[in-house]
Amino acid sequence: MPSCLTHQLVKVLALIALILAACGPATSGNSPSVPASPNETAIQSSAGQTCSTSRLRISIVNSSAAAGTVGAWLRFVNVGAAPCYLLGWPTVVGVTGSGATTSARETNAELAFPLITGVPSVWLDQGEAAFAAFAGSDTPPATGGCPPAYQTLRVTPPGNKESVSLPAWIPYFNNELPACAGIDVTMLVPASAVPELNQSPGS
Amino acid sequence: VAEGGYDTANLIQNVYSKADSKYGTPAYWVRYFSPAPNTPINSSSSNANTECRADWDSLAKHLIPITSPLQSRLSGISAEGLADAQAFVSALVNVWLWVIPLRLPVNGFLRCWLDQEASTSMSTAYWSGWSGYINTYNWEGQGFYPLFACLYCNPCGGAGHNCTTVQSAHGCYAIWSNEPESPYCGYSLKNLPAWHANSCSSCASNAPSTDFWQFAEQVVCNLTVNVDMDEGTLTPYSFYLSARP
Repeated sequence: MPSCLTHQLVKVLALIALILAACGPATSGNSPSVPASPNETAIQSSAGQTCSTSRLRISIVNSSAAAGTVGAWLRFVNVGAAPCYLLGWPTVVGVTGSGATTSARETNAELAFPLITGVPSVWLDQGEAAFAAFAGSDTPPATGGCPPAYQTLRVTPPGNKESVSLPAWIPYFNNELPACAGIDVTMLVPASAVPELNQSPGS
Repeated sequence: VAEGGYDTANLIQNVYSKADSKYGTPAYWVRYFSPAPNTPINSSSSNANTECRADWDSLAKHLIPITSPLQSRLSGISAEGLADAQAFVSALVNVWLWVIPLRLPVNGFLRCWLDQEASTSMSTAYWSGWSGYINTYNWEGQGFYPLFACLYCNPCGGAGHNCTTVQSAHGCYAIWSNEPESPYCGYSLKNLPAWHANSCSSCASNAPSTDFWQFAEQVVCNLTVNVDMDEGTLTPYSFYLSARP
């Protein structure tokens, strides 16, 4: 079977697995998990898996500062051998020098986020990348100055618990990510949805 | 009559429909021209025409240019300001050439805005280099000087006050204030706030007037569309569309 057909089949099976998971019995936090049926297990294992943090190289690219909005894009590259997928919003926590933390709000209204409906399941072959935008504001509140800027960002890919810490340096802004109004982060999109990011990575 | 409009780092075609329905019909759009992060309107002829078509469809039909160079450059020397101004003007001319119905203002005053972020310090040398080129640019060699340098900033913020910097270096025709914002998040283009923009009056004498105000910023106000909202009668000083591109 041609490899592209295999890839399409994997995506279809993954979609079925996601639908089955969404339609499965709800469990409360303390309830024992419901074991997957043999058929479900087979579907999930053949359909590929969520990209684990350890299989991703995560970096900050394409920074910007524009009329008060300061941000950049998070790039998630699959460095594992097998394809995997990412679905939804990464968890981003800003950490100041004193250790104070701020969790990012989920949105899709940041930077040049593309016009997309729904939440895409982003499939990554080895070496492929997914992107999410994040931003804060450097406009001080009317009541006074801004709190100290974030020194690091703790980033957890969707479907994971393990995070990575990245310097919160925004090159275009020539400073760290300001903490004047918290942080917003968008859902992950495939590289094909943001072609301008592929033209000038790493800035 | 007070006018309101949007500025956005996104493409107008990506956001205008939701912005119009949620926050109101704009009188103008403020868009980034090179040098700028994200995708500037002058990234291609095709994009410039698509954005101007969306501008027309949003019923704004006016376009205000802003540029946002690497912020570290604003503390630099005159030559850096000059180079950034040259890139900006080149982008302005390209978009004007690409979008056939895009016209210069009838009164001959096109305000050209430089983005100075709140925590960025700007040198008088950079401003002199930037504004000097803008204010003396001979449009396409026609003996016509329609560009006027203006500054987006926190007027009395910055080391030594931003107003003092541009006042001492001269050549600034208007200030676009980004303060205050947070108390006005409940307003929109459907319901513009009464004028409360911070101005230079409290920190510099003979400084340029503040007649443009960013009163709601997406991140600050948790807006669900990627636009910021602005107030000020700017249509006489902006590009306008004579027809749908």
